[in-house]
Amino acid sequence: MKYMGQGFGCMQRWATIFLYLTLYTCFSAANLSGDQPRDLAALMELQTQIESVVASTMPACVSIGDGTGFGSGAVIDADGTILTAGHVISAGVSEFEIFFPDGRKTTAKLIGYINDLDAGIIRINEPGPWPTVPVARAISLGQGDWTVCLGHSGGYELGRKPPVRTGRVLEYREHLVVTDAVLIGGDSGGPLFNLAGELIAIHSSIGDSVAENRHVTIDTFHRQWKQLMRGGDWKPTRQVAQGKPAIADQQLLPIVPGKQPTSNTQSPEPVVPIVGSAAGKLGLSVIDTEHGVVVQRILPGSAAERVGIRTGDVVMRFDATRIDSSDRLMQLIDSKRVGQSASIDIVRQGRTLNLQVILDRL
Amino acid sequence: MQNLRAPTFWLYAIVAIICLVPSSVQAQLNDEMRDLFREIADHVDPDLKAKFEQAVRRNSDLIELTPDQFRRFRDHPINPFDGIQDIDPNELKGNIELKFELPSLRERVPCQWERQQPQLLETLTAVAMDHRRSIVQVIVQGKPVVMGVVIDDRGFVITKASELERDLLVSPQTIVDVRPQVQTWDGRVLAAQIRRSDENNDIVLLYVKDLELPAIAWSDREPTLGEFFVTLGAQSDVVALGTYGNPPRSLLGREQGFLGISPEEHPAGVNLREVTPGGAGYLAGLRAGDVVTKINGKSLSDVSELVNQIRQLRPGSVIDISILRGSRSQQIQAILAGRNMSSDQAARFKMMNRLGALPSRRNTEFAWVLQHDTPLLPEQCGGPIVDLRGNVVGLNIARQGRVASLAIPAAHAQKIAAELLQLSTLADSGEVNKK
Repeated sequence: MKYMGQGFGCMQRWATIFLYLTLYTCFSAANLSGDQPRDLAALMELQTQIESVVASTMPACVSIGDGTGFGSGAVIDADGTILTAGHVISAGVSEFEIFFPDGRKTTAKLIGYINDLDAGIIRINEPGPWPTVPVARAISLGQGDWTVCLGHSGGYELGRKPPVRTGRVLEYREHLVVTDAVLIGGDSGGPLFNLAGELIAIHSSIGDSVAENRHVTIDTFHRQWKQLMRGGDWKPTRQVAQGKPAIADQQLLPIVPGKQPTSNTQSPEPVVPIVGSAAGKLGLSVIDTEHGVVVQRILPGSAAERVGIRTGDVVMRFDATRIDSSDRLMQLIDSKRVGQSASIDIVRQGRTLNLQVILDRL
Repeated sequence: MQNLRAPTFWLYAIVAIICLVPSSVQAQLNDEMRDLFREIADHVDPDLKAKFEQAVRRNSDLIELTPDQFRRFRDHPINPFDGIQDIDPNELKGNIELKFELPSLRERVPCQWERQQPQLLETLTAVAMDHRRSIVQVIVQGKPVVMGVVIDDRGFVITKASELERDLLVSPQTIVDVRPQVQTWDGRVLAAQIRRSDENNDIVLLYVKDLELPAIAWSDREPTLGEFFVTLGAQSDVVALGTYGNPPRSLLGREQGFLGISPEEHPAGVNLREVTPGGAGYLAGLRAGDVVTKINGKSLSDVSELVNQIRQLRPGSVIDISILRGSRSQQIQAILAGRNMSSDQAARFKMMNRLGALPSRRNTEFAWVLQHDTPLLPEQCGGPIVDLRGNVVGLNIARQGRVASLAIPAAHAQKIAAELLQLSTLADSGEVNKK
């Protein structure tokens, strides 16, 4: 009896942490599905495009060292502005070593990062001009579209250029795009390109399958540009203070070797549950408009559907916090665990409705 | 004390599915999990090591840990199960039983948008047809262990040596007969003899009587970075599609030699932008601004050439360096040093390398290999890779890990094959003479 009681108590606890939800934000990829190469000739044409992307972008793919580990980055202007992942540059260091594929070495300083979105910017100290890559205005790829992936896998290796990989878009998840372009420690912050050779995403994290590689979309950088350049308004979140990369989807392994997600925890309070992708899922996608954050799509069977949220609803508040951007909403939902409830204020045809939703897995 | 059974958690790699289950369900370890346990055992303290080794011996995916052991495992950098970070052993009273799970790679089906989607691979079968007669499946004790390539129409095949040897410890001097067989494209299964092996390249030469198949046509074409590589199978099939990611380099010398310099390209050779004070180069007299023109008498054209030359040597090796200092040329001798790697970082990286991949048993220490990103299983190595036009550009020699497969470039493979063949036929004629 003793064992039974105890075991049951534990089970309840873990079950609570376990139930979680998904929030699909901003991206609706369903209508953008890419073409499958149908024959050898199509593959050859694709190959020609990939080769030219590699040749034009390789010189601007840098390795970033902070003295303890390595990440990667992409130089986007001649002055040496580098886009990278938030967790590559958020360990408290303000000066970084930059290694170019041709062997050149220089230093860069911190500009800003937003850890919750795993986005970051640094800039080279020496005057340029530095080799650059063009930046896409928005990521406009559909499932199955091909991408080209560069990054200094395993950290900077003298005499080795960043290994080239390719992959296809498999899924959009919050501010991330998921591909089968394989990543590993050291690739974090490295560039993902479309076939026009434009930067469309920055490598962020991996899961346990070769088809689970996550990259922060360029749209996230565009949307947060001002905050990032100002040093990242959301930098001092609790998660950052604890040195824990708190990217929306918690099933991740930040891909910088030697950078532990849970080191130097001073507070006894477990801040972000890492047990089973704790990121809350609501099952809707939203878009930023001039009228506010508007619901674009509801997933069948989701918590959002059950509680009666509809396409076109404007999300005003989430747990009493005013929603001014889709990223803000996403952050708030991500901080929830499955099984927890939330209060959502929406405006529908001029009327404000208050809904109580219990987040679950989908 | 009152706990008869510890609570059990299921672990599911990074996607940590953790729940309490009545701990009666005990599954056998799959290959992925067994490899992972061995890897973990190599890095943790002796107490934990014993636990993981015991699980491998018992072929069990359940491991019971005391709260203290659990804490040590949870906080160890080698632990890839981020899902257990939140478990506080003090709250649970008593021992904790962990049930580990990893999805099987061999049974994984790619989704419709992945590169390895079957229909996409089918468009490449025409490319495979030209070479099918020159590819064999190597079988040991009834199991397909690796692929092989016919290199001479008198019945000679080369393949990846270390896969063939399986659990037998074999050095080039003492070749143990593991009685391999080869299966041909037309279904024949024939006995093979191990003739010669090449340790630096992990290649073994097999002789198969009555094989009667044509030698593979190596190509001398230099591939372009980013182009597609197609890995061919032994049943006229296409195994997988990948991308050429890195030009050939040497991975010899686990303990590679280091000179302690930061080189960059220069018209006359390689310019030393920095020389690490106290490093091997510094001690030998190299200074920033020197231009290295030759290493061991060989001219240099770029940085990777210099690095590859050095990496092929072990710490302690002596090299001759020709430099230009200003307009004066000078000769310098340096003794190469070793480099220390943080073991925590190395452990973490090794763990990531296993996510979604089964690395070959020998996956580094090759004399000259190129890198591509084709997801291969260990038994899918040993065969040829071709470009989209069907040119044989290399021989797969290892699944290195999550992001990389390694292949011996065609020209180098051809050279290795020729040397092994010559050694073997020389030995044969020697035997004939004795008789």
